[in-house]
Order: sequence, then C-alpha cells, then structure tokens
Amino acid sequence: MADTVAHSLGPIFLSASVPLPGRGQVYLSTANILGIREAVAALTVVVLPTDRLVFGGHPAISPLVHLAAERLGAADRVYIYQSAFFQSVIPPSSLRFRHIIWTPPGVDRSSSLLRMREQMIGSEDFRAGVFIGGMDGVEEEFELFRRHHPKAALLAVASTGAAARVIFDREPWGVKDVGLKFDAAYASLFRRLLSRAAGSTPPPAGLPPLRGP
Amino acid sequence: MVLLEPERQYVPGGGYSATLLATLERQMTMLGLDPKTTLRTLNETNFHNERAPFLPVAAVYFGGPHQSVEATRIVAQLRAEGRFVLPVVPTLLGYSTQVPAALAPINGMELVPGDLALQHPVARLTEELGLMRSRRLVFISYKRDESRGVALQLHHALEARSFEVFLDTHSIQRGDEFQPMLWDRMGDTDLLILLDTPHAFTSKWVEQEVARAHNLGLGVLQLIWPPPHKRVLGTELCEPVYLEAKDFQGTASDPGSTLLGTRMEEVVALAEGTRARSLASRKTRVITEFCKQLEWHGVEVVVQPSGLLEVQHPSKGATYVLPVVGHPETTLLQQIEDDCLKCGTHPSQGCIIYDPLGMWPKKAAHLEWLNKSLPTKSLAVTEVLTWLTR
Repeated sequence: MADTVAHSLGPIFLSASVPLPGRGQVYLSTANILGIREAVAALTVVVLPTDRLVFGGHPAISPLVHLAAERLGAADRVYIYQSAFFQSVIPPSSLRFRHIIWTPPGVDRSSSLLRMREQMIGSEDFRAGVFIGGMDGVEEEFELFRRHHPKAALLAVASTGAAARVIFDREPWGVKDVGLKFDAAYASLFRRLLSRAAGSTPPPAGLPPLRGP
Repeated sequence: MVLLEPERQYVPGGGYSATLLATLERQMTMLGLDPKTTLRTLNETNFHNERAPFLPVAAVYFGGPHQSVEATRIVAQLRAEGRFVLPVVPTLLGYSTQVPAALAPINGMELVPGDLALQHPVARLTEELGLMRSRRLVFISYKRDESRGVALQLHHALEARSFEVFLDTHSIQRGDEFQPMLWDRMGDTDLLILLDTPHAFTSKWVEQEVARAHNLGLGVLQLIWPPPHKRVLGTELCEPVYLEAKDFQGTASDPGSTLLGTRMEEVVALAEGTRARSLASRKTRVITEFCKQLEWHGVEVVVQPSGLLEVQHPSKGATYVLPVVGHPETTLLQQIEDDCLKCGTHPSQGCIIYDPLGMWPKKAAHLEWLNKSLPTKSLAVTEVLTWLTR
C-alpha cells in the first residue's frame, strides 16, 4: 500500500468533442456536457503524470487539456495533431501546446481530416484509446483506431453520451466495462481500466501531486 | 431526490414521503427555484429508469417494521456510491431492525412529534442538495465596454439571492500576488457567469477565467447577445443562454442596457441550477473519489447523515472525515472538532478533506501551519494515501 510510484500505462489516445446542434440529433440527444468535461479532466490527471496523451485538437477540449497539462507540469507529454487545412480558423488557445503536429492538407475537409487521423493514430503503439462524447469524427477515429491497434483497449465512455454512447451500445457485452456507462468518478474508473489495459496490477489509487495554483 | 418508504401504504396521506416533498417544494419556491423544473423525485418504482447520474442526489429512507427488496437494493447502491442517505425512523428504539443492514451503521434521525411538516429532515436535505451552502460565491466574467449594464444588474440580482459576487476583477491592477489570489478565490467558487458579447474573448482574462473554471469543475453559465452574435468557438462546454432583443430594456447592443426584470429572474434561476449540478460533480471529485480510494485499500467508509464520513483508519481506528467542496475554513475545523467531542471522540480523530486544485500557495502554507497547531487536520484529497499509511 505504501507504493506510491505511478506505473506506466503506455501512450494513450484520446478522441473527444462536444456535439453541436444541427450536426446529428443522435449525438445531441444523449450528450452529457458536464460528463464530457469531467471525463477529459480526469483522464489528464490519470495519464499525464507518467505517460503521453495524443489527441486531435478540438476548440472546446484543447484549452482544458492544455491547462491541466501545465498545472501537472506535464506539458511535454501532450501531442496535439492539427490539419493544416484548418490553420486559418484554429483558435489561439489550441496553438499553445509544446508538441503541435501539423499534417498536410488534402483536397477538401474530409480528406484533410482522414490524413490527420491516420497519421495521428499510426504515430504510437497505443495501449488504449479513450472515446468521450463526440460526433461522427469520434466514430471514425474509433474505427480507424481499432484497425490500427487491434490489441489496444477501447474505452467508449458511454456516460458522456453522444458518439461514445453510440459506440458503447454497438459493442457486444463481454468486451466493455459497465463502469463506462454508470460510473461518474472518472479518475478511479480510468485508473482501473487503463491499468488493466497496461497488463499491470492496478496502481495505488493515490492522485499525483499537483504543481502550483 | 430519492424517497424510499416501504411503509408508505400504512401511513395516512401518502406516507411521510408526501409530507416531506411538500415541505421541500415550499422551501425551494421561497429560494426562488421552481421545484417542477429543478427537482426530480425518485422512489422504488422509477429509480432505475429515470435516474440521471450527474444530478446531485440526496436520499431519505423512512424506516419501520416493513422492508422492501427494491428499497434495500437502492440503498445499497447509493451507499456504494458514497451518496447521502438520511434514515428517518419513528423511534430510535430498535433502530437497526427498522432499516436495511446497509443503513445500520448510520446514525438515524428520529421523527419529532411536533415537527408535522418534517422541517428537520428537509433542512438537512436542502443543505445536502447544495441549496444552502453557507458560502455562495459567483464570478462574473465580462468585457466592461460591451456589457456593463447587464453585469451590474446581475450583480444586484445575485446579491439579493445571497450570493457573494466577484465583479470587475479586471479593473484591479494585477501584480504577482493578485493573480494567484484570484485563482484561489475561484477554487472556492461554485459558478462563473460568462457574458459572451462579440469581443469578450479579445480579453485574455475572460478566456483564462473560463478555462480555469472548467479545470476546477465550476458551473459555467454563458449569456450570449446581442443577436445575431453566436457563441464563441471553443465555449461548447458552457451552458448557453441566448438573449434576444425583446429580453432587453432599450437596445440589446448598448453596453449600458439591462434585461427585463422577469428575464433576469429566469437567468438567476438558471444560474442556481448550473450551480447545483456543478456542486454535484465537484462532490464526486472529492467524496466519491475518496471513497473509491479507500475501497481500493479495503478500508470501510460509512456516510453519516451529518455529512461526516466515518472511516476505519488502519492504525488510528474510527476517524471522522468531513469532505468539503471549496477550501477548508477554520469555522469548519471548529465544527468537526465539536462533532468529534459530541461523539465522545478525541478531535485528533477528525479531519477535513478538500481538493487543493488552484489553491494559493500562501493559503496552502497557512493550512500546513494550522495543522501543526490544531488537533483536527486539513487533508488534501491528493494526500489520502500518505494519510492512510501514517
């Protein structure tokens, strides 16, 4: 119990966004905005003290990840991917990361996004992918991630609703954990499931130290 | 709110649950809240189908000679989540035979003959639901030359509802000491109201305050105007309220314009709802995470109706822990010391746990200093492991 050394979970892929009106009622009707925020915040607290977190920037999610990483003294462990196709419309808050990887633009929006997603998802030997809220983009990243990393754990956090809920409901029982649907204590949920994915015994549940205000 | 009462059919007038609900609804109306939209009541029949996992939950179990399988199951589930369950019984004699086993370690509340409206249990519930937290701090984040009229009007309307309002923080000169102090105050706040006018986000302070609020888990209510201005990209985690031209006295785009009184009342009611939801998620951050950490180590925790957690500490034995949303105050330290003395326990068997996120280093140092001098300690939720092995 005295073991407070955090165990490595391996690099983690995050796919998260906030559903917008007019982009599919199926996502909006179940979206849990507070849940999306709490899940993203908890994931940073669990992963960043020891491991890399890779994600495609999203205007609402990026500032949250950036601030959490700065406060944890772990800004070096965040890798954000952006397509050069969107360079002119990306808000400044998404450009403050130390590791920002620009991927070449395609001929249009969807081909640009696909190039970005393939490069991002192929960039690491991920142990787990975490899918939070989201719309069609999160669903696409889920399928792409599964193809690239057939052995990685797939955590669709159904309680955050939206695309994560759609994915969770589609997957057969036996491969998904019921906590993803009902557990709102996200930090302990991620600690448990990511440790399992890393093939280690779960680490002690102590939260990492925080730095500064 | 969850109302469990296996005896319901044996008590006239729909049982104690109906009386309690009527009193609670009256109190909420007095606080300016519409119970129809802000309170959801669950019981044995609809708990599993209608429960929304992210709303604040408080439960009451009316005990007696009869028990029901479903009520017992629900109690066990709520207890496992570390939720507040208040057992209320006609008499404390033979208490443990009147409630499910999961409630036996919790101190029950006895019905008082003169309290026909059940004011005592209702008072405890309103506190638990975050309606009566003694400190009600709110930040207003805005750009003065675009929205000063609404900002001032909000300030007055919120003060009238017993909020302590932080406004015009931007006008104060920001020195080295000011910024961490401001972030520290924010960590003790429940709510940020963002006035999203066309150039609000050109102020870096507005942007930073919103990011901090999300990081801390505060509720963020976003008022968006004047039409056709749309919410700023990247604010999708806030709760949006679009204000229309007809909501204003005068021209919506005039910086000095104010809202119609009825619309302002609606906004304040929405702010109460946003605050209650964020309090629930911040409680989860502190209390549920704390309970799960202890469960992980096989340490038993019992949530008492007073709000105290009774923890079987591996070396200290029974310890009383008060989890707080926001920062510990000396009055709370005194309260837990008093509670310990009432229970016949030494005050050193009591402590407060809190989330230290965003705390001003000087305040953290002050708590450390107090810890050296007082028997009752403040413990950051991040230090639980160390505390368990101490």
